[in-house]
Amino acid sequence: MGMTNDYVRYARPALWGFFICIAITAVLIVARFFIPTFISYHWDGERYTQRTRAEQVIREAFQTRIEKLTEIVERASRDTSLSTSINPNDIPVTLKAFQSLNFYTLNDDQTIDLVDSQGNVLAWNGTSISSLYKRELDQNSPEPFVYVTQNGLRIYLTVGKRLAYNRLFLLVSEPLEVNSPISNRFVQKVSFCSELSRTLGTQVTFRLPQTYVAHQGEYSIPVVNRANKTIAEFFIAETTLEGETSSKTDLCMMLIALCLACGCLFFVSTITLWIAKKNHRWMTTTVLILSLWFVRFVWRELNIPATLIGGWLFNPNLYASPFILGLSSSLGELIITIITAAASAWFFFTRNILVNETKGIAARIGSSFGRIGSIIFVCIISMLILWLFRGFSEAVRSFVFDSTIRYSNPSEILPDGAAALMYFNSIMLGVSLLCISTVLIYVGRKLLFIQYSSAENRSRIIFVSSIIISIPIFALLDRTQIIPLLRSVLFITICIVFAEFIIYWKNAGFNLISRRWKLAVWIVVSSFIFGASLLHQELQQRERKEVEAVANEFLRSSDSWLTYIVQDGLRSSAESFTVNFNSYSFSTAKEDNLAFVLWAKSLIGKEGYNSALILYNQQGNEVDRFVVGMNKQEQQNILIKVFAGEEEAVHVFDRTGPKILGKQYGAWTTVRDSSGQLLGSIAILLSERQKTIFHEEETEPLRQYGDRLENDAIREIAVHEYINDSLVFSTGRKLYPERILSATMDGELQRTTNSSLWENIIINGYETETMFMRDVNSPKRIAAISLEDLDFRWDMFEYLKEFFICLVVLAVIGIFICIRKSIQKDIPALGFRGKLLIGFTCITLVPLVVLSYYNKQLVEERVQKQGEIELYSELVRLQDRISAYVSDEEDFVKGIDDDFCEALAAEYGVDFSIYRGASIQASSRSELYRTSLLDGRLNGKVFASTILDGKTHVLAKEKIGSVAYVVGYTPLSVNESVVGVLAIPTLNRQKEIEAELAQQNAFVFGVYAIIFGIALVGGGLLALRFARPLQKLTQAVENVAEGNLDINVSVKSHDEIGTLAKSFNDMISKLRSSREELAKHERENAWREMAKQVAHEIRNPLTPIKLSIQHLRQAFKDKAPEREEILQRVTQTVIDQIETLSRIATEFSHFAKMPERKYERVDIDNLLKEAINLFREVQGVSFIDQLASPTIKVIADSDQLRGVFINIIRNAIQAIEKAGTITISTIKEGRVCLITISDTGLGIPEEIRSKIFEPNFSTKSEGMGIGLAIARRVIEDHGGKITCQSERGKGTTFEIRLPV
Amino acid sequence: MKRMFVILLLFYSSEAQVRQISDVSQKKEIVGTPSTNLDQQHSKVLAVFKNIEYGIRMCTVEEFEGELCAMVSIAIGSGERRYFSMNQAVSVLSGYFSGRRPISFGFSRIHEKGAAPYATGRLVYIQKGNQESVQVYVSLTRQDSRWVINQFNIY
Repeated sequence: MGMTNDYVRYARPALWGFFICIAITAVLIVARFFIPTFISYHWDGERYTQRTRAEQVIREAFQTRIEKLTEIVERASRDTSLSTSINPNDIPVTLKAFQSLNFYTLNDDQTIDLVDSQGNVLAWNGTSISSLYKRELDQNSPEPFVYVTQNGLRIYLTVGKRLAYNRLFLLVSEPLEVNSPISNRFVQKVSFCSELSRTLGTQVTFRLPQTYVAHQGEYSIPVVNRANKTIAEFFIAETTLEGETSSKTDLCMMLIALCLACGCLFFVSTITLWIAKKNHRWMTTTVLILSLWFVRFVWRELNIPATLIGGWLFNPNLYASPFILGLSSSLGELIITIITAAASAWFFFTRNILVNETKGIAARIGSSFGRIGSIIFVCIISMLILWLFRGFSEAVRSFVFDSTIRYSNPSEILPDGAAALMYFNSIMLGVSLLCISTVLIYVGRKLLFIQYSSAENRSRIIFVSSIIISIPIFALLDRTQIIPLLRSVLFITICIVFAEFIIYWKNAGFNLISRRWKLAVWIVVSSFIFGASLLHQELQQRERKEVEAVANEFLRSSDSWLTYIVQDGLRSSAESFTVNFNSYSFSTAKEDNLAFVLWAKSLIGKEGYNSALILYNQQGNEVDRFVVGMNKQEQQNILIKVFAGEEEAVHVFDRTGPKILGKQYGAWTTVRDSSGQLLGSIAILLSERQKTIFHEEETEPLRQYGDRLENDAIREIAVHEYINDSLVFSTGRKLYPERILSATMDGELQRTTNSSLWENIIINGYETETMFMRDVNSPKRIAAISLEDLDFRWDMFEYLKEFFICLVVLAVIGIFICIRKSIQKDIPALGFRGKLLIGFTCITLVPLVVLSYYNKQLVEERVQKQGEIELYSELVRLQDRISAYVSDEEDFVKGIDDDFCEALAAEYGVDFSIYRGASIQASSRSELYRTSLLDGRLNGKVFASTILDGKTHVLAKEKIGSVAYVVGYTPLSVNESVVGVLAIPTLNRQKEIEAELAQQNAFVFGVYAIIFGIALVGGGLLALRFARPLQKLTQAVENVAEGNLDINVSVKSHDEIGTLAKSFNDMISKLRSSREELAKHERENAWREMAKQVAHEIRNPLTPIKLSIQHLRQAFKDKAPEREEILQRVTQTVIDQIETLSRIATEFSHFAKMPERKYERVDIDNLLKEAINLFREVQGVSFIDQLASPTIKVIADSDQLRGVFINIIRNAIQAIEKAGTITISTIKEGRVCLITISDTGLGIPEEIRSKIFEPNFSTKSEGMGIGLAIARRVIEDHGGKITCQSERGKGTTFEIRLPV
Repeated sequence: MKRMFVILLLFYSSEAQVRQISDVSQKKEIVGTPSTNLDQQHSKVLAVFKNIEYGIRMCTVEEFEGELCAMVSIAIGSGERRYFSMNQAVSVLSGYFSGRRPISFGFSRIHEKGAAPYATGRLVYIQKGNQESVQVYVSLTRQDSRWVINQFNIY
């Protein structure tokens, strides 16, 4: 009744929720039709409001930036070390100023400059904004001044202030925008406008004053300084009526979707609760599962919760698959679907296994089909399981192939978020599959056992044989042949093992509910084993596919995209001239940085390829050149070939270096003005090596797949090329193969029908997986890619990371169970063994965390130290070389140029730059300074340390975009005076750290995985060993509590537990003696009581006998005439009284006869049913039994309990006058079984209600009135309690509570 | 009833397959080698580009999803160029086209010759009430005797 009320209590609010959602939806649908009209009507006002708001937001945001910088300026201006007069020749004072400036900037992007009244920078911290500030300085006002300026790629906001006591100025700047079309990882988009665009919901652009005119659909908001001079202009794209309507309609549609999603949830909740009220478990479970999937599909159609959450989780770029009608269209959708599937599978599992009704189902199926039918059924379910397993394999394949997730990252101890979620998905899908398969196997096995109930072994053989037969049949039917036979057999065996365990537990009478946690652990661990192994197999497949794609790219003649962008670059640059530079003179091209401007505007620049754009004048002389990532020699080689070729055609050349992979593209065209007059010509070169900013980056094909093949930091991946079976090219360092391709391999390659051939071969003593691919257009050409084999430690490390996810899943399940139990107020107590096991696990896991942290720190320090040593060595080598080249300062000024640096860089294999004073003099990568990617001013701290403080070596951490790297600096001296600074950047250091970390992780954690496994198994065994004596003791205590003292705990250990066991045994022995003594006393007392009672009861009939016989004797003595009649009457009386005596004797005999109790596990339902069956034929009485399911079992004497039930039911029947009902119910309340027997009889009067359990009390004409007394004694002896409630005219209810 | 539903559901889930080339709608037709049957190759290539053009004009991937190869290189905007499986590529492109209402599209340049034919054109569309445009570049490659899309750049 209580549960039913609960359902009703929850169903009503759910129904109301549904109606409310529908009502809101209806309102929103109506509103959606009126939105366009409404917006159109109020559009003028709305547009004005939007403009006002935009102006307010922009000015406030700009002012906030100014205030932030002003605060820095104000703080710095109070610094006395900056207030004193600085003379550049006074080194200690200048040094102090440099050091002081380091304290005031808030982040790496900010710059603080100390300048004199002439605008010369005296000390600085941060990138250079301007070399001379004179124009911007406000000489007169002591108040801070503000201006906006552009330097290189960036536009800066600067706040300055004149210092109080001298003519020095402090200027603090930070970038507002990147004014460059380049967008790659080296130039991060610093965008004030992006923030504003997000806030205002429209496009906002930022320009310097008078550099841009608002186009149609834009309006400008000028920002002025204190002198009312415009310092910047913001251009806002005006929202159109259509745009506003569209955005509001979209919002309305989103709200409708949300309401419908909630409404759907409320609706199915109402239906499920309504069905649950009917108390049909089967139907409730069915409706629950159907409801789950209904909600899932509806939410998918409404795109909920993707619309609300969004982000990477719902981005198809990460994962997308079309299976199950779009339910896995993104990682987020997949997670929701898999949780739904797991929940459904668990309901299905609990419904069929944990609830004991499978027998009935099996019996029904069995009765329909008979024995042959049941064998066919087992075969069908076996094939169904295999088919499901195939589906699982395909799903895991999709997890790998339909995703761009990087599953393996050996430099990290934990998998990244997306990979972890995918591991979670594979485990949960495995759990679902195992649950369903186990249920099917369980049902099949039950069915066969029922059909062959008389021959258990025979049925078992038939069951296993049916499954074995099904496997090859399925293999024949399945055309895809995806799953290996062995794996199918293993999977189905696991399912059989689970089903067998469940059956064993049930037969042994164990409570299956209490073993749910153990079952869950087994299922999760099994699904991890299957899921992880499948996932790794698919990952290997994907890696092979990627390698084949790399080989294809290597073998192709050219890349159409690269060809296209070279053509496009040439066309766009030429068009740019025709449209914008009609009368442009190429003579100023270098000053205007024209080559860079054209390159940056082209697609090549936007994509960030290594390329060169060279401009020539009418005479064919070079006027400007912009180059990224190509050396002079390389450019020259291509240019010669390009100009030998046709104009406007893209020429493709093979690599030029021995270790360089990829092709080079080049094209040229003439440039003419609108009248056809020749202006000059343009050449564009492109190197297939991508996005390198310093040398020694990976080659392009590997970088294209780099996200997936980044393992090359750990293992070598080498590309080789054979022509006529002779090696002509290889990128291998360690993996450098034989010069001649083996005849075996060549033969196999010719025989294979596939385009590629994979072989495990040994190259230079290293085991490799090598792929060979023949060029279809040139069969004599063979490409080979070798992947160095990683040893088992790497696999172990990966499995360990995945196992961590498995532990997390188990922890989540554990928490879920605990929460559920705590809601039901039945918190499960963790056993001693469980606690020990958890303790061991924690003890082994804690060092893992500490070790990982320590390992990371150690590796970083070691790599950094090693890098520093190498850097010092390179600095010294280059310093010596340059010093040998330069004899005086003039040599330094004139001789050190970019060409010199490039030549030296090529010779030493290291890029470097040289500063003269604080300014860049020359660099081997001068384009980086020309494009402002690198700052042309020497780092302030470095300047102070090397030039001012005279330190010989300085290391500084610097950044280009998001790439952080270390730069080593050393001063360059000529004739013992410092003339400049040499700088060597180390861009690849982070990669080295990652590679080192990965090596360490694999080594340390691979071994740790073994130790962890041993520790877990050992811990488990130890826990078992420690817990077993305690379990024995617990069992013994429970037996004692049940009254059984014939026990002896055998513990062999001599420790505290052994002593405890011995003490326990002694205690039991004493208890046994005491109980015997007590029993003896009780018996004696009982006999005394009995004797008294017997004497009392016998005395009553004896008196009339005595009187009657005296009367008879008197009659005969008096020879009374009626003596015959008297004789007759007296004999009748005597006989009656003797019968009474006999009855008394019988009753007392029964009461006294309390045989020794025989305790056993008793099914209460069976006892009650037996008792009811005795009275079924009684006229006018009907029985209603509401017995608990599953049945309740107690430890009791079945004969005595049966007697109690019979007695109470007999009393109930006697209490019913003509017709009535007796209701018998059982329910489990915690650890107590409550048995209720109610009748609709006359009821017991209140005045005698308290006496009914007393001996000799009865309201009936017959009987001794000791039935209920005996009942109470029996129940109380069983540790229970019996109570009675009664109401006159309505009936009586007896409640019996027995411990379970 | 419940079991039937679960079985049906699992039937669908077991179809969670990475689609094979043989599953897609485009008919397998034997294309002659470029040297022997150039005209036929050009017509096949043009037919594929026509399908793609129609699909982009409608802003729907369904029209040409059968023309995608097993691994498609996709770059949208200034984003990174990445390789996607056919299934994923369909979702990525559908996601891109879903919020856009097309106005006009046509390939302005088709290079149907060679081993890697390509085509480019400008797509004009309306998104959130504003008219915008992008350049689309599509290149094909030959896979199992068919011409399939191996690169799709929107910039």
